[in-house]
Amino acid sequence: MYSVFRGNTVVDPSPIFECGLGFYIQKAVLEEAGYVIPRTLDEYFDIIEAYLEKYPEIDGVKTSGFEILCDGWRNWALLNPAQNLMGDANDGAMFVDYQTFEPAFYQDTETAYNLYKKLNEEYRKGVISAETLTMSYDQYISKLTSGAVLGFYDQGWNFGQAVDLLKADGKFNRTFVAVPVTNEGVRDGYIEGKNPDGALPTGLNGIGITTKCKNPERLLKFYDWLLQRDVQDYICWGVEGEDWVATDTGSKAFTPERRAQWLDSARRRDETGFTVWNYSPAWQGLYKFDGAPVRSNDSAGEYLASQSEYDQSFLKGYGIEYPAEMHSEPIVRPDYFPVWAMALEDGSAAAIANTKITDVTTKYDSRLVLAEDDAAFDQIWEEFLTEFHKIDLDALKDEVSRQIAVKMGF
Amino acid sequence: MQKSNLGKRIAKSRSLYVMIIPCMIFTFIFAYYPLTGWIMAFENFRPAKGYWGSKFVGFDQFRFLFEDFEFWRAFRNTVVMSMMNLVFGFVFAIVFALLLNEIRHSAFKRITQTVSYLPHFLSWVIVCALVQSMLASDGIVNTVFSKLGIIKKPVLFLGEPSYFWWVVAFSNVWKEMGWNSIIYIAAISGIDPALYEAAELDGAGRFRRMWHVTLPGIRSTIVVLLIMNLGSILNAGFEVQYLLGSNGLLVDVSQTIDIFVLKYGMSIGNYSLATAAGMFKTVIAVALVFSANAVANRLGENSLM
Repeated sequence: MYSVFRGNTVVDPSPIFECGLGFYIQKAVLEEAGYVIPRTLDEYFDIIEAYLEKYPEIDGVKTSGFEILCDGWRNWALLNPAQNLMGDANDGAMFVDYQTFEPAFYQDTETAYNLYKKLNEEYRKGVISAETLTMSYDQYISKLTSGAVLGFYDQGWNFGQAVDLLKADGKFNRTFVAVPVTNEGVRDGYIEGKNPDGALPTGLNGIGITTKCKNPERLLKFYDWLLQRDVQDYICWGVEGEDWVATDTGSKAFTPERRAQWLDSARRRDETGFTVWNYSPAWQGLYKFDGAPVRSNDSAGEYLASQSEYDQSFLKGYGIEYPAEMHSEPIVRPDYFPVWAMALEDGSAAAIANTKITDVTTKYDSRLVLAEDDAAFDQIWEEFLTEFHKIDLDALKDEVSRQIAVKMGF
Repeated sequence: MQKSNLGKRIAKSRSLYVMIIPCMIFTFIFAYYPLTGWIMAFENFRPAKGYWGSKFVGFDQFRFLFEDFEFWRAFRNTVVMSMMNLVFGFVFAIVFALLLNEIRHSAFKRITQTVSYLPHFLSWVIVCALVQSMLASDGIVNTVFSKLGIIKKPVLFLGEPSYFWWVVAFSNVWKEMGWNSIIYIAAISGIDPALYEAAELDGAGRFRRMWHVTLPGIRSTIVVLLIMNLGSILNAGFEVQYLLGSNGLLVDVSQTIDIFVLKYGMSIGNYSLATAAGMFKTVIAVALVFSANAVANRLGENSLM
């Protein structure tokens, strides 16, 4: 198999507009709290509680303080937050120290203990309902769509459809923004920086050409052709004047018709070049030559033009241009990143340990959140520690270390 | 003597033998030939290396299964849930068939029967979504119970381990009762009406007739179905448990052997482990079918073999 990886040599990274994961909070809650940025779990839940007390119902629906989705493989809301509180992005089942590149488990740390303790407190206060842990993904999305959910932990792509529906209903103040919640005094590392000289191939995206292909050169020529500036511009933007216009700042923005087409996922797939772009080697970012955005997602002009009035006043409330500015500067990740994308050998001890970790944490973390009282909580925690350390943790740790060393060139 | 006899018998009904050949070929291709794959259970099978290139590891895969406490918990869950499914499935289907048989109004009877087996055609994904919204804290079950004053605050049906097996059993009953009763209704219609008339003359009421005529009339059907179903006792299903019970609160009672195999076998490419678990299930199933058959024989019932 030949592989062609995405790289970006003729482009600069585009600005980051929004943080793609973390503790989300409804914009109306932040507005009510006077545009503060919650930085710890305590601050985060304090403003949620205050809002919940004041508005027990939103549009006739019972207000829900915080949701934790844990449905099958969509389990990160329950399992992952501890690593973010410790300052990492979404690395996977392990936390990596960027100084020593030593992987470690975060599931049994003090941070994890405090996280579940806090969630348990909020459950006992009624801010979190027990039902959230039994919800299916569909129930979760319909709940978010009601506009009565104040906070949750998630990854942006996972609840995008709920936000689209809220926007379609004109409930812009009920949409969400991710806030930089971490352990006290820890620099937030939610946002992944884009590698400035990034011609580096990543293992996350790419195309494969079978070795049975009779004429791979011809295929590669096709991809070369696709990567030309005018072809990319046409795929991503369409025709100037009809589909997009230049903005004052030298950026680009869609026309309203084209934007409607873009926001409708079925029309975007069928009527625009998005699918070709998405499944082929492509540029992303800003062209070095003139600073024009490669895609609409890279375009500051389009981002600002597509903001509702509410969102504009919301950002003005904070005095920032993009929601991502609530966070610290993006961190450019080391070459190994992330742990979750590492391939573990089929049926190996590391793969088994990885599955076990998911099993054990899913089971005990749910119980911790729903513990009856402090004594029960501590008992479950002790039980969890015992079960967790029964797993062959070293098998996974050694394998992750090995792969980090390979990718970092140690 | 014997030999020429057999030859003669075959020759006599050779057209029947010819007709059975395609079935035998089918059975061989789809039931026996795949068994060669069992060799995977004793290897560290890698698809790229094939049966002959993979490393032979003896009973290692079985050791992994039997030494894992989770596997035995999955085994327990599987057996309990399929026993419950078996018992409730039988009782409800038989009682339903008996009751339906007593209805004189034929249009009503037909509509009821049709409605009752429609859920059979729904996929489990849909049924589970229905069950999930019915059992939600603002779902119909909680609403009705709290309006009736039976419960004070909503019950978390899908978060309480002790309810889960019942939820599964009744979801199964709801989905399959009508369908399972069809075969009993057919058996009942084969009972000689003269028996009912005779019973009536002897002064038997409705329930007496059900007990002494209908039930004995379908007894052999029940026994045959029971023996056949015993063979699948380790197939408690997979979808219901996976869709309703994968949350952390229920995982101890919901994980069946199939889910265990999915997680530790298929998902991480460990086909050998999946095969080993499949063999284990087959061995138990065959043992159960043979022993049930022997018991039926001993009791003087028509047995399957």
